[in-house]
Amino acid sequence: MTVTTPQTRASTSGSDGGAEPRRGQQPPRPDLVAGQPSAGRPARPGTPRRGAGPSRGSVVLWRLPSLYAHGLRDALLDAGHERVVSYEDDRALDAALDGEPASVVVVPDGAVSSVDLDALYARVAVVELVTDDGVGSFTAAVRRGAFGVLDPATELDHAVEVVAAAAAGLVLVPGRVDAALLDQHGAFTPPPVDDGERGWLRWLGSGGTVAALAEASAYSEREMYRLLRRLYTRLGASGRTEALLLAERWGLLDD
Amino acid sequence: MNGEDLPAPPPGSAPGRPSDERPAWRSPSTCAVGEPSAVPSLVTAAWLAQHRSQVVLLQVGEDSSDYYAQHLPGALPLSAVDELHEQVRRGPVRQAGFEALMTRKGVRRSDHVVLYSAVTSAPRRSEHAVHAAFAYWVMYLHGHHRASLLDGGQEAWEAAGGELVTDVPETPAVEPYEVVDSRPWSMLGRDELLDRFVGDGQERVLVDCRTPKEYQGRSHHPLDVPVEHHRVSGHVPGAVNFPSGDVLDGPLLRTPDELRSMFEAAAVRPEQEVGAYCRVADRSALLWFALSEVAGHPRARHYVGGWAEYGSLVDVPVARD
Repeated sequence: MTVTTPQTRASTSGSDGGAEPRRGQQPPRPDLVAGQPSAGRPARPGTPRRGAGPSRGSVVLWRLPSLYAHGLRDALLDAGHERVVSYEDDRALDAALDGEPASVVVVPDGAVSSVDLDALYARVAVVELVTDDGVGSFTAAVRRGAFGVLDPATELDHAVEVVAAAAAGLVLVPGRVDAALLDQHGAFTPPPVDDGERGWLRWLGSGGTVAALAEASAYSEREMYRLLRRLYTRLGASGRTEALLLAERWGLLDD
Repeated sequence: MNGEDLPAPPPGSAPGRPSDERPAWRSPSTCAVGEPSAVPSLVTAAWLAQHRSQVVLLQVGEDSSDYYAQHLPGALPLSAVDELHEQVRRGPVRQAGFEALMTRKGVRRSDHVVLYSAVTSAPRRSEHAVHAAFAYWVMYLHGHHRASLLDGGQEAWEAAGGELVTDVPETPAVEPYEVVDSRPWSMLGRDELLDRFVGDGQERVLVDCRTPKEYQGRSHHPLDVPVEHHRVSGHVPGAVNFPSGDVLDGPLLRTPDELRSMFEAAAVRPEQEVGAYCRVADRSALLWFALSEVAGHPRARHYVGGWAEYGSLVDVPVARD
C-alpha cells in the first residue's frame, strides 16, 4: 500500500512562518495540560475517553532508531502494555497499522511529512520522537496534532507515561515547556543569576576548585561556600553537580 | 596505577596479587591481617560520642558547602570533588597530592580518622554516603590504615542526640605526611579489567552497582548525548548488577551477615577476585566498602574509571541484558 502525499498544514501562530492551508479535516487540537486530565472535549471524534495507564489497544513503534525502539518497547511491556509492535523496515505506516488495533503510534518527527496526517490523527493517537528537547520542537509537534512528544534524552519511565497519556487523550507537557508557553515573551526564564554567579558556575563547570575560586574572588573559603550554597538553593539544586546540570540546561554556562 | 605493575606485597600486608588460596570471608572491622593498630572500619554514633577527642573527624561532601552550614563538633571539611581527585589528569588523588592533603588537614599517620557524610534526607541518603566511602577508599589506597566510617553519618549522629555546630576548628600543624604501605592493588585499571575480567565470571567477577536501568542500558545520564554515541549504554559483559543503595538499611550499613548473604546471592563468592564499578567512582566506593570492609571480602578492588570510561571505549564488548 502506498503512502499518500503529505498534507500541508496551516500554522496556528505567526512564529512558524506562513504555510499553505491544509486540505481536509483539521485534526482535533488536544488540550495542553501539565499532567492534569483535560476537562475539555474527547481526544478524537468518536473516541471514548480512557484513564491514563497501559492502553488496551496496541502501541506501534514505527521507524524509530533501533536501540531506542528496543528500549521503549521493553519499557512499555514492563509497564503492562499487552502488545507493543515495532517496525523498523520500509513498510508504510498504513501497512503497519492495517489490521492492528493500535491506540498509539510513536513516529519520528522526520517521518511525518510522508504520512497522511489527517487520516492518521483521526485513527490513532500519535506520539512524535523529535530530535531535540527544545520548546519549539515540542510545540511544533503538538500543533501538527501529536498527543505526545519524546526526545532522545527522555527517560524511558517518562516515555511510558507520555504514551499512556496519549492513549488517554492527554498531552504531558514538560515543566520547562509549560513555563515557556505561559511566558508572554515565549522565552524560558531561569532563576535570576547575576554575571558574577554565572562566572562562578562556569568556573566550577570547567573543573575549577572552590578554593581557587575563593582566592580569585577575594573571599574566604567559608564565605565562598556560603555564597555557593545560596546559589545552589536558588537554582533548586542540592549540590554542585545538580546545580551545574541545571545551569547547563538553562544555558547559564554558555558564553 | 594498574594492578599488573605492582611490586610483590610485603609479608603480612594487604592482599596483593591474586593467589591460589581460597580464603573464606575475613573477619570485618579489622585492617588487613598482620597490620598494626587496627581500628574498626565502621563506628557508631555512640562510639564517636565517647571517643570524639581521640579521632580526627572529617565531614566529606561533594564540596564543603554543607559543612559550612553546620557540622559535627570538631570536624574539618573534606571535598570529594576538589580534594580527593587529581585536578589535571582524571583519577583519584595520587600519592603526592594525598600527602599534601593529609598535611593540610593536620592528619598524622598514627591518627585515627573518622569520616562521615552529611546525610540530609532519605531519597538522597546513598548519594551522600558515597562521598565518605570514597574518602575511606582513597585513604585505604594510600595506606592510611587507621580510618573508620561513621555508620549513618550525620543523620545517625543527630538521631543519637548529637549536636551540630558552625564553628570551624583550627587545623593543627603537623610534620609532612608520608605514605607508607600503599595498596595500589585495590585500584583496578582499564587495561587489566579488559584483559582479566571482561566476560570471566568464574575466578573473577565485576559488580556493576548502578541502577538496574543503567545496567540494562535503558537509562542515560543527563550529561550523555545518546545521538553522539560518545558513550554507549549497557554494562561490562559478565558483570553482575548490585545497586549500591542495597547495602544500606535506612541510613545505616547492613550487618556483615546480611551483606555476605546478599553478595553470595548475587553470585559474588569470597574466593573470587571482585571489581566494583559504577558510572564514575562514587557509588562503587560504597559498594567496595560494604564488600571489603564490612562483609570482609578478601579480594575486593575498585574500578574507578567506571562506565564513564568503559562506555566511551571504542570497540570493546558491551552487554545489555
